[in-house]
Order: sequence, then structure tokens, then C-alpha cells
Amino acid sequence: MTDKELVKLLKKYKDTPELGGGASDFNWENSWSKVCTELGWDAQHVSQRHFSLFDYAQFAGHELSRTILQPAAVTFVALVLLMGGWTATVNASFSVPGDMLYPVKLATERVRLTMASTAQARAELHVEFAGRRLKEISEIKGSDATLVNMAVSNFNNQMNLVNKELSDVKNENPDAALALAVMVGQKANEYEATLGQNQEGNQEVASALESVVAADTNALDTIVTSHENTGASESGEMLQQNFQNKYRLLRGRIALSLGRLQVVEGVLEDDGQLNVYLAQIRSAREQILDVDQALRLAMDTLADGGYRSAFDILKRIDLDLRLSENQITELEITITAPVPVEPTEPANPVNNSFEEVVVPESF
Amino acid sequence: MFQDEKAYEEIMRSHFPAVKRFLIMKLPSVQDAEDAFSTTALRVWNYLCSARVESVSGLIFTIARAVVAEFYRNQKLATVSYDQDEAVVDYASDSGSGAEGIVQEIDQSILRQLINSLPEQDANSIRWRYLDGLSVKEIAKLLNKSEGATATAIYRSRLKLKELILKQHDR
Repeated sequence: MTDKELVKLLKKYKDTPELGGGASDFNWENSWSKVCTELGWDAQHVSQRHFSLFDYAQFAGHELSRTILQPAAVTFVALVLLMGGWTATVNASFSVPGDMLYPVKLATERVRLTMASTAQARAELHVEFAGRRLKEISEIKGSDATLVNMAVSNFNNQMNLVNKELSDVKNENPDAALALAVMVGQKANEYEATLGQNQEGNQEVASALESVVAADTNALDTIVTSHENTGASESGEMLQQNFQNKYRLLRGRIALSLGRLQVVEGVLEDDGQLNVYLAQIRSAREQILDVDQALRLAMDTLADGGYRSAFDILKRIDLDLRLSENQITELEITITAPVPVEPTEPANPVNNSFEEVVVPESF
Repeated sequence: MFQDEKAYEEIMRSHFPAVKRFLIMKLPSVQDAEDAFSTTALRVWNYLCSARVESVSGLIFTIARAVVAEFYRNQKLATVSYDQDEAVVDYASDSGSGAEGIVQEIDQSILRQLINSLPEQDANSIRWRYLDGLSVKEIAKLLNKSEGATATAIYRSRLKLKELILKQHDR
């Protein structure tokens, strides 16, 4: 049976009494009359009633409200809510720890993380959020220490998550890991430089630096592994570029350290105290020159294709250089410490024993 | 609140053909259908005067359905079920064969029972579209659906009815 046949069948019988057709007595006039009687109305009067201008105006008003005003009001309210939400989100994106809208910012980030379906996407988001935390640290630096520490701690968490997601991507999808590692490596270098400026002996910052270094090391290891496995020119170039960046930074630090030593030497010579610190200065300079030598070795190793070894050397150089930098800093603090004040003749010999004189340890 | 007798008359007049067919097909006699229409119309007026209504068509058919159900409850008659329909139409099963045979063997009373045995919305769709001749747009208003969804609903209702007819023929 086709559709056409079915429709034909239905139309054939539509006027039969069984299907509700015919029944001429059951017509509108009779039925309406019956309804009017039940309601106590005069059917003729109701039927003859004409709508007045007022009725039409009322109807027009109702239609206007229904078709234009109500949808317009709904649209307006929706826009207000949307704009309100958007404004709140935008305002929240500029908020820092301690602001009322800061939790909104964090909540928005959590939503974005929830919507990220792959470890790679999550890692990229954690890198982005770590950058935001770092910016916040710079903005609130000098304000409430608790808030600063909280921001640093948040940054630390993000970097740890970057590290974790990078490891996951490395195991699940090595091809995607390479691009991610390059990005993480670049960002880690940026973050390391920024955090270094904000360190100032802060324990939280030191911890954050460690997590940045860990992420950087992980990223580098990923790139090296990828290059060792594939030998692709792309990863080779990335490693060369990464090495050159680190090499330049270390060379800059070596030059800076040698310059600082020279300044210390000059100051001590002017004060006639160079001989007192000469051994210390020589030791520091030798260490730096050793580092410089190691840097050349790293470069040679890289040229021979020993990427992993070359980066391992850079890592050791970084640690040695830090030691030398700390030594120079101690020297600088020592020579710039205030000269001890000679005790004056006590006005009251009885109270003399309670007076304190600040004497630097090295003196 | 709604107090406009003239508007009420227009509403009921425009729905009269569809409600009439619905009631005649559902109830045993035309007289029962006429009474049911009056009851439906009165209840529609009372409802319109007491509450805000979003879909007048929906209200009218909801009340009409309730009136039919009430009728059978009061008469202590069971509503015609699909099984009963099958029993009633059993006699036609041996006559004819093929599509032409099916069309010939289905008379109006069998068709009525088959339509009534469809789910309410499918029965309404068939009635409104093929018996009352309403357009898809008009039916969409009655069903409170989009025209696309209504067209699909009508198509599915038609398939269901066809299935019932073929089932009836195979017996």
C-alpha cells in the first residue's frame, strides 16, 4: 500500500458519518445556540455584536505587546545579562589575588580546563595560566606578603601541572609532545628570567623557580629524545636554537660576574683593603673562568651532535655559576656594609653595658 | 481576564469542524457528540474566564478528550481498544489481495477504528490533515509545534496507520 493509496482511502471516507462527516444536524448554528442557552446568552445578540474602535485598539495594543514589546524586553534583559556576564568576565581577567572578582577569573580558567579534551590542550592552558600568575606576582609585589605567596604558590602549581601534562603527552603522543615541549621550554625560560628578578630571598619564589627549571628540563629532554629517535632536522634546529639561547644567557652572566669582580677589586683597592680579599677574589675569578671553559666544551659537544651531553654540561655550568654569583654577592655586601661606629664617652657609666654596637660579622 | 463573548464565538466557530469530527469518531452516536461539544464549549468558556491560556487549540482538544473519557466512564463502557478493533475488523481479513485489495477491504468503520486505535496525537494528525483538510501550518498551531516537526509527525502518523492497515490485511 502506497502513501497515495492511503491518502485516497482517507479522502474517500472523510465525509462518511463514521469518520465524522455528514451529520448535517450537528452543525455550528445549532451547537452554538445550545451553548448560548446554557450560558444564558442571546445567541443572535452575541453574533451580531460588532467590535468597536476601542476593541480594535485594545487588540492592537495586545498584539504590539505580544509581538514587539515582550520579545524586545526579553532581548534587552538577555543582552543586559550577557553584557553583565561579559563585563564581569573581562573585569575578572584583570583582577589580582585579593580582588573580589579574582575567584571569577580562577573559575573561568577551571571551565576552560574542563573543556580541554587532550593533555596537550591542558598543558598549553596551564602554561598560559602560569604566565597569568606570574603577571599577578609582578603586579602585587610589595603588597600583602600572604597574597604574594599565594600567587607564587598558584604559579608553582600551574608549572607542576605543566610538567605533569607534558610527561603524559610524551607517553601518549610523542609527535605532539615535541611542539608542546618547544613551547614549554620557551615559556619556562621567560618565566625563569622574570622569577629571578623577583626572588629576593623568598622561599616560595625559590620553590617556584625549581618547578620552572623542572618543566624546562622535562621539555628539553622531550626535544632531545624526539631528535634522537627521529633525527629530524626540525627538532635539531629547535635544539640548536635552545642551546644558543642558554649559551648566550650564560655567557652574559659570566661577563656580568667578571665585571662585578672588577668593581669589587677597584673599590677595595681604593680603600687599601684589596690584600684582605685578594684570595677570595682570585678564587671566584678562577671559578668563572672554569665555567667559561666548560661553556666552550658544551659548544664543541653540541657541534659533534651530543645534544644530551651538551645540555647536561650547560646545566652544571648554571649551578657552578650560581655558586660564583653568590660568592660575589657576599663580597659586595661585605665591602658595602656600614663602617662600625666608635663608642663615644658614656654619659652614664652605669648604663654603658646595655648599649649595643652593630659590627658586621666579617669584621 | 477573558470576558469577550464575540471572540469566544469566533474561536469556537473556527475549531468546530475539527472538534466535531473528533467527537463523532470517538463517541458512539452523533447525539453523544453534540452533547459532548456543548459540554466542551462550556468548559472552554469557564477556563478562559479563569486563567491565562497560551494555546487555545490545545485547551479545546484537551477538554474535548476529557469529555470523551468522562462519557465512557459514566456509561461504564470501555474505550475502544486496539485489541477490540482487531476483533471487530477480523471479518475482512480474507477478502482481496495486494494493494488494491487492501483499499477495497477497508471500509469506513474499520478505518475509524484503526484511526482511533492510534496514539492520540497520531490520530489527531491524521484527522486534521486528511479528514478535515487542514494545512500543515494550521496543524502546527494546533499541536504547538514548528511546521517542520509537524510535517514529520504527520508522516510518522501515516506510517503507523499504514502499518495497522497492513497488519489488519495480513490477519
